[in-house]
Amino acid sequence: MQPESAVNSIRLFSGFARGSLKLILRGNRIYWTWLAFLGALIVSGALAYSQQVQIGLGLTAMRDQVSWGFYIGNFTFLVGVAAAAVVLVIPAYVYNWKPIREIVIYGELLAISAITMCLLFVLVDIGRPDRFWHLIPPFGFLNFPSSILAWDVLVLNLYFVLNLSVATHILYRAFHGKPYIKKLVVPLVLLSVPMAVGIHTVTAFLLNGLAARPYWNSSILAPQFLASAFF
Amino acid sequence: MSDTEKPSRRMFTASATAAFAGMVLTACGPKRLYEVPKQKLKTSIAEMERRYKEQFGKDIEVSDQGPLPGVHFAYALDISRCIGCRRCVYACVAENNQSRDPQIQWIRVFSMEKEKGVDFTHADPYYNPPKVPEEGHFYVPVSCQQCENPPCTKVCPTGATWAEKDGIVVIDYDWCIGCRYCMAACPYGARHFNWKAPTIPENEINTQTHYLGNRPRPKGVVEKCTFCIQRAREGRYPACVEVCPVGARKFGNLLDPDSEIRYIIEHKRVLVLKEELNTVPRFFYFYAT
Repeated sequence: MQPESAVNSIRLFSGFARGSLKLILRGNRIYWTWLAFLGALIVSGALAYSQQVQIGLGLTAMRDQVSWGFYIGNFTFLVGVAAAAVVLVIPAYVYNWKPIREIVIYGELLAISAITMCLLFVLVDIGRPDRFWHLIPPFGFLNFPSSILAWDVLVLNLYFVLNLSVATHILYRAFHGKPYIKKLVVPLVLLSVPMAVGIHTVTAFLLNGLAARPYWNSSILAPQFLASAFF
Repeated sequence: MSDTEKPSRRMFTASATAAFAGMVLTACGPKRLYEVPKQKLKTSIAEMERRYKEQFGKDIEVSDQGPLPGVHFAYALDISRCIGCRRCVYACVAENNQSRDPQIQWIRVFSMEKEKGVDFTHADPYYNPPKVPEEGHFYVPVSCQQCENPPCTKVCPTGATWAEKDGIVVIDYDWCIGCRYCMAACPYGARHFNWKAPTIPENEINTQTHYLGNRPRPKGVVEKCTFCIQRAREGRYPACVEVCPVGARKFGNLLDPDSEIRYIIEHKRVLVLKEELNTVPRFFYFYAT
């Protein structure tokens, strides 16, 4: 790439970022009330979390007998939401029906926010968030492929990066009034469909692979997770 | 290049690159206690002892005794003798520096009905009669089964728990991220989490500790029975074996054909818990009488 064109693309991207920010900050009273409401929820969550960091996970009333609770339950649910959002893509491409393709971008955006929430739920569930880097080689050690949780860490982050790049590309091109590059987007979108199946199956296997829990340890769990994502 | 010459730019670049690569390699080097070399382990342990001195105002000795060759520990518990007094539970708490508030106990004693046999769906870990043993009941203490095929170590995403060469499943408290996947994977409920900062009265701390065993734990990590690794590797019995008033608990070397544990396995009616899960416990229950 020529230096001038590199500078140019940086300028174009920062224009896109600033423009998007301007669009986000524009809205009527109802919009701002809604944002304030969501902001209040986020602040209360952050306050509760800071207390949890100080006192410990005992604050959640989880105990040794039930050591995974609301957090992991929500994590599993949101993986389903993220997968379902992209599963929307299937009819768009299988039936080759144009109007529904416009929805794909919303599916991608929903998937991004759902995955973000998934990762945050895992983060608040672990007892030592300060040691999160222990998972990331080469600084840490990822017990792959033995631990299904290691698989989940990989697949969720890949899925997140994939959806983030597709959505950013489409929005970026749309912002500058250009159509997105088909050769780039279509393969990635088609890849995101098996990946959506993948994140849900791996999350099912996370619970599935535990012989210690008879109700989880059944072969129906992964298909059941997928079925609930479709509906 | 002679000493009088100024270092060339190439030399400088090369040595700077080498220094940086060395720094990165050190940063990427082993940090888990599982793989630290002997020499680095010594410095890690000195650092632990310094930290504990600061925290508790007391000299706490952290041993780095490794597994003994030709030793494979195993445990046997005589169900027909156990009276359910829970002395083992509290001896374990005292020996292994378990938190008093919130309470953590590595041994759970289940009260079961003689009519139903060993049946965990009808077992009560919270029995509290004025006197034990109760009529028509028997007792099954459960702690870590030190499986030969442990499901807990397989699921750990950071490799913070593993089975030692002498069969003891241990946890690196400085590497555990507290995700509790191992607790979900353990069929015996043997793993316990520090839901809050553990507290131990200063005069009750056991100062004889092991780096993979009973050294004080921080908040937010998992812990469990280690067959009293700090005692077993010194050739002593675990605290629960010593305290049992009826001699229901037996401990020894599985590889020694003359050991008590081998005699029990070869001559008594022996069972392991949840055999169908293929965890291959090294904790045997038996009926001596």
